[in-house]
Amino acid sequence: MPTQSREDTQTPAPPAPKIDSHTAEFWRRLGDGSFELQRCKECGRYRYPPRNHCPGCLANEFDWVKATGSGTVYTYITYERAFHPAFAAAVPYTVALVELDEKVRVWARMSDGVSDNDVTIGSQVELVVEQRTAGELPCFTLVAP
Amino acid sequence: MRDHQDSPWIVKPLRRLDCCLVSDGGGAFIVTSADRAKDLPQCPVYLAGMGQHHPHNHLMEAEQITTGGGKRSAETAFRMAGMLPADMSFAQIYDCFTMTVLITLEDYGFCKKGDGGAWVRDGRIGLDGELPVNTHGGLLSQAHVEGMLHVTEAVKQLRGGEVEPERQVPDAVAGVVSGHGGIFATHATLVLTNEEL
Repeated sequence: MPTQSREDTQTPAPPAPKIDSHTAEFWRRLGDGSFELQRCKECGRYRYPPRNHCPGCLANEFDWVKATGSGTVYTYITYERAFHPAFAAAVPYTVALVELDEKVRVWARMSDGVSDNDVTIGSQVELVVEQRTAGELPCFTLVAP
Repeated sequence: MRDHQDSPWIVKPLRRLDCCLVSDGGGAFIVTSADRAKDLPQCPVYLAGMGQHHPHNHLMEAEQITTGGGKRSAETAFRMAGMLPADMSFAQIYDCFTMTVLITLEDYGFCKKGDGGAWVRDGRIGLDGELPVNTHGGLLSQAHVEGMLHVTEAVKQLRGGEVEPERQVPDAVAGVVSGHGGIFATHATLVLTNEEL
């Protein structure tokens, strides 16, 4: 179930994801609260971001598979300045590059309740789909050790 | 270092002085055959080696993020030139951020992976140091012209007498230039020399 964020609704709207024919189905499923990965039917490799062919074997046939949502922080950064006025109230906020159990990496913001100081390389995280101003987006929460 | 440490955080771990300038500008160079260059007024600078490697598009797809395309790009360029990093009189390294320089110097073989920070200390990459880096100030200090001025600076250094005396590398014979695009997505290397090939 997508959760509500605490973003300021008085400021300009944040940029919306650019949705094209390669990614439309990914965003549609995310809108239903499900973060799904393409899995190649030929070699079984998961891929992200979504695209038409497998980067490993170039095959076009794939299945959509709901991600377990479990992963670890590969690296992270903390924004101390807003690069868009929509994020002014959110600063400082942390964005992590997470390696999911499916061996793909996903950039996403840490959920609002997460303290920047608690994020480190190797942190165990869980992907949650949150209702944000721009629509549903994946975010990460910390899993208690 | 004091100025750097006092500059505000932009995106941790980068402070403002870790980030390149934002500029409008241009540079140009003409490539021709060594044969034609003999008749031209300026001293020729020879393209001894070139390389490239473009490991990924999105950073999410990078196998790992502490080595970029520079490793394979530089190996190709140095091998083609028949030269080693130690033969370089200077290096003009694409410096969108300070850490890009450290990673590139490591990838190019000037020092071991992970040793970049320690290696550049105590003036080693200053004008009087073992390997002058970015004698023109680069994207961090001169201007961001997409790396064009890294090429033109290398050429001027090798011609001699074309830059202010205080930034001329004495007895320069060869230099390496790096180009970089995206977030460690694309990389190219040139090895230039003023000695006829």
